[in-house]
Amino acid sequence: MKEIEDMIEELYNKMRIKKKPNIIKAQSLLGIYKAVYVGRIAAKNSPEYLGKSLGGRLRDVIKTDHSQEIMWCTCHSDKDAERQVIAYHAGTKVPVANRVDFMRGVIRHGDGFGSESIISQITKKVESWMPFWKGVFIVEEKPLYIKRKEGRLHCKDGPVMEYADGFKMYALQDIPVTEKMLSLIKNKNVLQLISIRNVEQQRVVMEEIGMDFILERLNAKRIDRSDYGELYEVDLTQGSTSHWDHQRNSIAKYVKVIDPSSERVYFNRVPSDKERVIDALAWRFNCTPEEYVFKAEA
Amino acid sequence: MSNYRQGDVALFKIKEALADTLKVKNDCILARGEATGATHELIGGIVYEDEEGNMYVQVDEEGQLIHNQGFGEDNHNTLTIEKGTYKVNIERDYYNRRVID
Repeated sequence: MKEIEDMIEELYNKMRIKKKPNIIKAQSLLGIYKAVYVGRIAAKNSPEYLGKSLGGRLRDVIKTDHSQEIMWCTCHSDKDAERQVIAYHAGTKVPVANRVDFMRGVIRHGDGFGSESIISQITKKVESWMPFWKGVFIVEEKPLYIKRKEGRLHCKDGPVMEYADGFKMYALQDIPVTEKMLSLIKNKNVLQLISIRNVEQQRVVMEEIGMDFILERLNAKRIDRSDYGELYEVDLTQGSTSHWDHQRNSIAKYVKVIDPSSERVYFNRVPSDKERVIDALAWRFNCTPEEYVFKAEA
Repeated sequence: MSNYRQGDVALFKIKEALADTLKVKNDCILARGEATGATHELIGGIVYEDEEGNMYVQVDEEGQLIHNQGFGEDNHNTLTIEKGTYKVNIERDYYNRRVID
């Protein structure tokens, strides 16, 4: 990484940028994108505003398109003037964004984008890089490997990325998950699975196990069905010998719904007093069953 | 009923005029996914919010509710929102917390 830092400094010198670059070292595309959530960022002299950005504004606006192996983002300067910054994934051609000052600087004052140029050398040695304001420059280390399935970060029995220092990341269908969530697939622990709070994480783990298996293992009893979905009753104490468990109100209700756009299946808990699917869904959206009528759903 | 739902975001049409005390929200993002980074964003309208964070939407002509997929594939189609005033309800979970995705 020292070599890369030197190259970035050399580039800044060539570009006549007086300010010394603040180099942010990051691991994983997901890490840059969702620094707070799963990634790990090592900041060197990072200004306070960028630290805030990584937790909020910056995290909100970066977008990735893995199918093209190009990462891009829109971010805001201190004065909220919107600009576009483009980050390039290693191995892809380097397109030039006209409005990006940094790119202009590389062309006008640096040594361009040729194969021997500094920026090209940096690109070869890192996974991706991103220039920001006030001399901030994010470089993403190359992982030892990246596992994908049909273009998406996906591995159900291990990390999707691992770095030389041992840092690992886990994901299913591009959704970051934890190692513990993957263990639920292996152990087929459906009771813990249905308690995962994040509905997208729960969904991708559920898809690995299979909804039919989950309903069967839970011994779920369907109590209502409509065009909106299905309502199930589940005894959460099953298998438990704890007296305390059996003293509690252990019958929980879950509504199974299919997203109209993606046809993804979700299995969400609702209060036990709900007797119909429509009651359950209306409760989740804090409205009455009569109001739960939509002109369009997606 | 001219209500709309896109994933965990629902717009319920209301007849009452919006209170003067509401503030215009800086952006038109109605909800944001934690795992995916995806956002539900209103185009062609104004988003207001009260002190408790409840959101309202004013569409004077025709608006759109779009889903910006931050990471992974897009999973919600764009909805065309007709003129009107709406209350925004975000889906909640069993523990009465805002759903996270």
